[in-house]
Amino acid sequence: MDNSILFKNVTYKYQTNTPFQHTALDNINLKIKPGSFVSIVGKTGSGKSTLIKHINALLKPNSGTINVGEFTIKPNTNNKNLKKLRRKVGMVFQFPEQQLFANTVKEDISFGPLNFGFNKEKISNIINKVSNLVGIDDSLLNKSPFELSGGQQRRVAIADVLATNPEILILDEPTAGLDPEGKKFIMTLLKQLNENQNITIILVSHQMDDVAKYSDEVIVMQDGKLVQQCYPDELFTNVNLLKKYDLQMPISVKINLMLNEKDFKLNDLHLDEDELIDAIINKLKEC
Amino acid sequence: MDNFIFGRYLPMGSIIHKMNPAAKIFLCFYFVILVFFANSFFSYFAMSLFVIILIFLSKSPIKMFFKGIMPLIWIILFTILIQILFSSGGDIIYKIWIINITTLGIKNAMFLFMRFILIISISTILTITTDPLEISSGISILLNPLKKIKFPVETFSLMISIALRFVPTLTDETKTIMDAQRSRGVDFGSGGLIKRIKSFIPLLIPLFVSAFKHADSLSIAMESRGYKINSKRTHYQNYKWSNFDTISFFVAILLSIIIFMLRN
Repeated sequence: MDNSILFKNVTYKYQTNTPFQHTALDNINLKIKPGSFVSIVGKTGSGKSTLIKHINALLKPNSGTINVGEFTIKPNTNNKNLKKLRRKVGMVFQFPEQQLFANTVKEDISFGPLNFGFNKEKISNIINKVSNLVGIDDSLLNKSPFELSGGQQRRVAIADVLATNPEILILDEPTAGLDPEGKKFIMTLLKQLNENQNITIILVSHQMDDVAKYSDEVIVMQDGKLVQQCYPDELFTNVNLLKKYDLQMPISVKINLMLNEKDFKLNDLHLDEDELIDAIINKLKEC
Repeated sequence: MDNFIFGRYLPMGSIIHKMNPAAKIFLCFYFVILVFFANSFFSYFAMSLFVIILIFLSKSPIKMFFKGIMPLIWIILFTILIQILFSSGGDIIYKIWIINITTLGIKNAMFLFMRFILIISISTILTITTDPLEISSGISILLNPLKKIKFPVETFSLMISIALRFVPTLTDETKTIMDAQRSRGVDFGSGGLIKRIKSFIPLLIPLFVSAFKHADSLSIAMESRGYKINSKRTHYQNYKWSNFDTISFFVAILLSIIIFMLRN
């Protein structure tokens, strides 16, 4: 099934008709291909979070349309009958552990599937599957989610969303406040989901290293406008663009530049740190 | 919360905005009491005129007042209806079973309606023109005399300002949690009563958990900055008493004289 996401002239204003009115999205046009790993970057307040909330109709545009697979979201779309869309599009919010509420981890994970009307047998399969995916030990399943550590809570919250088997997964800074190990685990998990299950991943992030390493495509937002949609290497090798959009340079690009200055030229640009290390070792061997 | 207007501060910088908050709160209460003394058409007319002038002086958009009244409209209409249908006295216009429609009933209902409108309008003017922090420091100034009977005024006003400070934070969190649970297939506000109440559990529990977390970290932050309960505190901003505040007290006295002269 075609699950591409299409924004056509989408504009969204907060608090319309009050003195606080503020244009959060200004005439956005974009296309996200099914099965791709897309990162959305930009400064705080540039409209990233507002943009992603349109994909599962938590917000509806003031004008324009959004197509997600067979669904169409218009300014006058009815609030009912959105369940199917929300099943298709999973959404992991910033600090998702804030959404935990059930008595046990198990109950929390089965909350989404129950809402979407999955049957009991399927749900117990799902619980096993997603808890394995996010690395929650079986012994934790019957504990209260509030007894877990911050990192474990984050994993449970991500399992909550994966449990509804989404075809498109949106994450708003899923690694904020985690230790390096936890960050790496989650990013690797996303890449796996993307490659093995062909889930479209849309990632909002301030971590340019992750964006450079994992995504197929980058969308840059600035003041409610979409200012750039391109491949990560196009963006991250262009120092002027990074300066213009106030974005940090990934560490791998920095190392590349420093090596270039010392006349140690690598053949290709490597955004992945492991590949970069290998390339440097190979080059050193040649010397 | 796009239409949550009642009780929102609008920084318009008018002459009313610049008044001393303690004076403003005191006069607002005074006006509310005065409303109950008005009992003739002319006294209500004088009061309405006064409020309209205040709205004009505070530069607040008229729309805000309608939006402030709308949430309460059903309570107002219900009270008026009871007043019209069941009050006695005056000439009887229509009578059936226990329902008595009398001239006095209609008159009282109209006065009651005016009272609601006047009280809501004056308190809307107060909240539109006064920053929440100003309100809490105004209240603490007004409560100062209670120190004599060992009432913890400082603690009380700190409680109010913390509560006000966290309203927007918790509102934001409510929105985020609602969005998160909606994404997991919750339909807030649909289905039967029981189902609706049940759908709020996944909202309320996370909200309580986060409120307790906020309280915990706030108390640690306050203690690490040397906060002690019941010790004397100085304020970042001291509100001056201006000539306009003095004038407004004279206006209040003048208004009361007019009302008492126009009373029946």
